[in-house]
Amino acid sequence: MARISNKIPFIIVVILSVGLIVAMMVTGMPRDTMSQVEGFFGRIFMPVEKLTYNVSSFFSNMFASWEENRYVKEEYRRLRDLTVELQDQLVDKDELSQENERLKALLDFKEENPDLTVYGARVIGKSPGNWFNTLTIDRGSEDGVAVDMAVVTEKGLVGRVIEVGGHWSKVLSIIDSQCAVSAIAQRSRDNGTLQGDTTLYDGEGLCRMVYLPQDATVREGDIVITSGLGDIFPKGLPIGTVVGLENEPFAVYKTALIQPGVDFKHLEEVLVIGDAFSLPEQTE
Amino acid sequence: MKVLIVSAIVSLGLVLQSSLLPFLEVRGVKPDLLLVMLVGMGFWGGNPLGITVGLLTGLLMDVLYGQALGLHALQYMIIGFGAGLFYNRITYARLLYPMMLTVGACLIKNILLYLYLFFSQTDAAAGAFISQVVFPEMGYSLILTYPVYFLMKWLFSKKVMERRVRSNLFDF
Repeated sequence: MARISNKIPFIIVVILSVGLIVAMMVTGMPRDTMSQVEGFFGRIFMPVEKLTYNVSSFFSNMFASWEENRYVKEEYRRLRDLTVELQDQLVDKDELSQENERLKALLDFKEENPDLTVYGARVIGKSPGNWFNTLTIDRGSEDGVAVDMAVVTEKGLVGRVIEVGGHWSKVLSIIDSQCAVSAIAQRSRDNGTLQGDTTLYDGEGLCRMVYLPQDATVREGDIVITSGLGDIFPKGLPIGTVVGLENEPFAVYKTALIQPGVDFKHLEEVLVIGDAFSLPEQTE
Repeated sequence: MKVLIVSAIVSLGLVLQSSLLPFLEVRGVKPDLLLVMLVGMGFWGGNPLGITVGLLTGLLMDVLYGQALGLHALQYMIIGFGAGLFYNRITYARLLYPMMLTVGACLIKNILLYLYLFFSQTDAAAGAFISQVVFPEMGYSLILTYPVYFLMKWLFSKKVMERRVRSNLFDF
């Protein structure tokens, strides 16, 4: 008797299992209508199902909104970082593009003047004060740069080297009041001396061409180039354009206001001319 | 009272299983919380609680979510019954045996499922079924075993959850 009673749970499980397998076979087959068993259980569990569904939906929506919120936040952070990265890339690309343009222009200058030995250099510093306009470049004596070499860009004359270090040099720009360059008006061939004027440059971006003879026919729009006198600047380097004349009565000489071709406020790359050969004059 | 508590726990398990756990899926596999709870209940409550809870929980799942009435009921009834067989048999193991029970329960559940798929002529590659579903689900469910096991231990140590079956009919 005890042995039989020990088997009762097994028997119950087996009977239930058989019943469930039959239920599976019946309900698992393709059919059009719901079985009576399912219908019976369905009616019993319908309220529970509804409640469970509502509760599950509530929690699902809650977790879904958390998940969505977390995703949106992550996506926002990712996009924000991406935006910063892309902006950086854009700035870098823009910078490279501009640098490329500038270097290409310098290369053009070099190619147009094959007789000259030129050294490319970067401007690495500018005089911090208001009264001097000197630049520091990253080429020095060990790179072949020497004092009194001319410094140019494709736009025209920048200045001359005044001090040389191993790998750096100081350049006195033509707009510095201590700088004087022998110049000539390309059209009228009037000789004069270009002098920097710090106040004039800072205010209007100009410098002066002094000691022009009274009978000089120079006029606005004339190109001014280096005359080659003084053995520092090669002849024919463009300097700028005449933008005005100062003709004071009883003055011995005329003075012209010159707009330098070089933008000294945005100077980044320059060329140092190694050999002071005369340049063929460039005509307009 | 005991019926209410067990019903509440099963309902909570069902809600969590269908609402929270889908968000904790790893590679499309989520743990079977109800299975782990059932193992805990069977282990600490014995039979006929294991059989009853397994059967009713399974039926509920069949009605609510199943395609064929009886599959979940059969799976969970056998699991509850099997876990109930270990009632009062193991007192010295803290976690190893419940974990082994969970592993066994997962195997039983998936063997039955595979048999059902096989006999219902559903194409299911056994290798992929085992590697992509059975083992991940087993590992994931094992993580839940520890907290659920001690929760059930704590619950069934309460007076209200004491076993009411006086005879040892369901003990082996």
